[in-house]
Amino acid sequence: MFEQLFVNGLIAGGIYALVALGFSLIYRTVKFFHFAHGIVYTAAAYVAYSLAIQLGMHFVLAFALAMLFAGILGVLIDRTVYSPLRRKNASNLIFLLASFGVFVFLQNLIQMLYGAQILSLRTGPVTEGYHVFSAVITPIQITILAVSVALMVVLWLFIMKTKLGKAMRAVSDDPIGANVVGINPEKTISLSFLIGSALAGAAGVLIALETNIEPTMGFSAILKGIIASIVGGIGNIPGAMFGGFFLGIAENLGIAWIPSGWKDAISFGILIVFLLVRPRGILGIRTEKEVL
Amino acid sequence: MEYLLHILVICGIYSILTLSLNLVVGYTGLASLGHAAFFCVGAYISALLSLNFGLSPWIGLLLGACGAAAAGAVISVPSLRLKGDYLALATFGAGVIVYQIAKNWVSLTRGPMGLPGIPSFSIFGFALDSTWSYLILVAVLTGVTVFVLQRLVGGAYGRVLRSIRDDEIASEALGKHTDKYKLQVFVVGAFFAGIAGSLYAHYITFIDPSSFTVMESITILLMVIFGGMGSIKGSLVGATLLVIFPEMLRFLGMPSSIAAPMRQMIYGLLLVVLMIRRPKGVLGKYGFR
Amino acid sequence: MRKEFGGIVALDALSFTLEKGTITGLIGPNGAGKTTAFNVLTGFCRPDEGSAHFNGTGITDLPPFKIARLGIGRTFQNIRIFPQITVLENLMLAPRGQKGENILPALFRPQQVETDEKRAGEEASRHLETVGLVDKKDELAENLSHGQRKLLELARALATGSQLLLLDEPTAGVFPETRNKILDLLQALRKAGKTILFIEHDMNVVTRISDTVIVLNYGRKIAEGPPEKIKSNKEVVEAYLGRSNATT
Repeated sequence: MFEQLFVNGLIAGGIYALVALGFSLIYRTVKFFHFAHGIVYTAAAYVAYSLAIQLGMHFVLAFALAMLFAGILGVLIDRTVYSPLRRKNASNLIFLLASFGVFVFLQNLIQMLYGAQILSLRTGPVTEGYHVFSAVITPIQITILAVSVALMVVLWLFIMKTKLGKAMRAVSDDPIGANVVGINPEKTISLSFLIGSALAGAAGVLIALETNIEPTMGFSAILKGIIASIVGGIGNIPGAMFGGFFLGIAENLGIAWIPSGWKDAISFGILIVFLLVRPRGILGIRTEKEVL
Repeated sequence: MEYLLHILVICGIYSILTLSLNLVVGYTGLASLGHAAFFCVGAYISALLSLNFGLSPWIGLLLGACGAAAAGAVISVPSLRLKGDYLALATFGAGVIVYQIAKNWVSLTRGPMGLPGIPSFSIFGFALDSTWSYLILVAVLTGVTVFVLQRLVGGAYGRVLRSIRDDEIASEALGKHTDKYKLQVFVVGAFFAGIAGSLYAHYITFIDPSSFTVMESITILLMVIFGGMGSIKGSLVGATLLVIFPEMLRFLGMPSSIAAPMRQMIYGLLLVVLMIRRPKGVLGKYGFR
Repeated sequence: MRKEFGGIVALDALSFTLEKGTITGLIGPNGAGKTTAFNVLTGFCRPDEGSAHFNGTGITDLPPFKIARLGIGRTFQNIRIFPQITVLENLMLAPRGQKGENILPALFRPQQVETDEKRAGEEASRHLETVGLVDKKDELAENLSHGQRKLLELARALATGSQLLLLDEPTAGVFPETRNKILDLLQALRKAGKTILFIEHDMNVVTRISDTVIVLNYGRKIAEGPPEKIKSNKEVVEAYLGRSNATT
């Protein structure tokens, strides 16, 4: 039984890690909680549905286009909502509230366009899974896990090895210094929204292979993403991955003792404990905050 | 006409909610995003006491408010250590946890099935089950809320709250025990939200967790911001306008499958526009710092 | 007193005594630990080692609001006034022991609160007159100029009735006539028996009003004494090597 829960936890963890990764990437650059990250996740799932199911497009192409859509949507949100707020030197709280507003607006827009009923990306017969120890894992689940990990690896390489990736890190560490050496912070911010949102979009499409598509799917996802990011260390890329897998596995193993309806409450309990006791997360570094 | 009275009752209940949250968010500057939790606690305690123990709804009102106040004391703890968006996240989380308790503790709350058949208030043997009589009750309690709030925020006490809002460190340096004030406003705010919860439960006579989601917390916060942070009049205006407006959508003949998401969409849009253009709201005097 | 921040030693075996009714200047290059010393003395920072006492009472482990209530007032380097309330209200927050600031009197004794408020308002106006801000009393504090804010913050610290005042760069960035106003005010306070410790970068100001000067560098006290002796102290001059004595 535990093996099965663990496997389920890995799959869920992969999804959470992708969302958290995108979220942390964006946080690193703009330093506020982009709650609306959850809605690009939802939007991508619906776009993939429209392309693959309604238009009959090949799944891989639909997936790529949905990711792209999510990325562009993220940049759009930044340009129309966050950019004006940046010009006014708004506080983090104001950004968070505006982000809530965007989330609510878009979630309901999606509901108006597609209706509230459940949709599905699943086609074809239900296939028999493979047996690993005493757990069963289906080909789809393997795909989800494999793609998640692959995307994470690609992102890691991008951040660490490429010039653009280094520029992004520079801006998040020291926006003024970065400006001085000729890096354009606004462009970097747009780039982080593009990539971060694309990752969330990927997660949204991948999860839709396993579960249902509905307008509210992004809410739970972003909550998990935020919790995973904070547990792993907010703004910390490996931390986000660690946090995502940790959360996924903890949640699923927890079902052994606690009824599954309490999952969200447990996740939030973990969050609040971390916020109070160790806000920098497990892998986060202590930021020297100037108090006075 | 009956319909209009019903709307006014709802306006009254939300006015109390908005006023109570304004004390915490508008005057003291604490980002409390889980206010529906206190609404929920008050409603459930009041309902359960009258359903399971046959207690008078008046007792339910009082004990529900006290229970909510206790929850307020607990949820105030993060505010002693966290600020701004981190506090927002923690209180948001607290709201989710309370909602989950209402939904999952089925043996107590009947979970998603809800609690039907909640009795109405009665006074001297007369049941207050006509909308007219209920409106008077709600109006009186709204008046009480305004009165208490005005006493608190109008003088030296309110001044300390506003100093905490503006600069907590400077306030401490002047000898103000800021932790004490934060605890107190959370407790008082929760108390009145609990009153609103009880009023709601005994009016609608049916409650279930879906009335107490995070969206509800955000709606109340929106009413505070829209009406005006730190303005009593603003809270009354904000609550009334944002309750009446969705009802007007219905008059425009929109089917409810469109009206419901449309209403939320406009709330979301309004929140964004307020943050960008006018964080102080319509009648507000202070913005978030 | 010793205080480290993640490997950086902010205060290193710092020790001094302040005499009642004197003005002491605390100087040193940027990063010498002056503001950290203030933070430790006012409870915003716990020292790793060492202790502080005020009039015989230990204050090292007390929270800031309790230290303030013992009679220590302070101002801040970046000025901390309450921007979204009026100038008068800023002042009215200063006096201690206002009954109306507690929840039960606020709810149940409105008459008394109102009388107290009137009195507090009059007293606050008097303090505003002392610093020449009384005609701005109904302005929101955020609308004041830099110099006016400095005066406001100072007036507010005075209005607390504190015995000891810790002032962090009280004349920084103000015009000469405001500076003189402030310095006259400080000297009047000394005459009235108050004790002042102030951080300052302008040596002219320090020489003008200090009885004693303490010099910090890298968290250690490198000199202490009357202004004239400090000015000619070789180590002090070296610590400031290359820095011109800026006059505002």
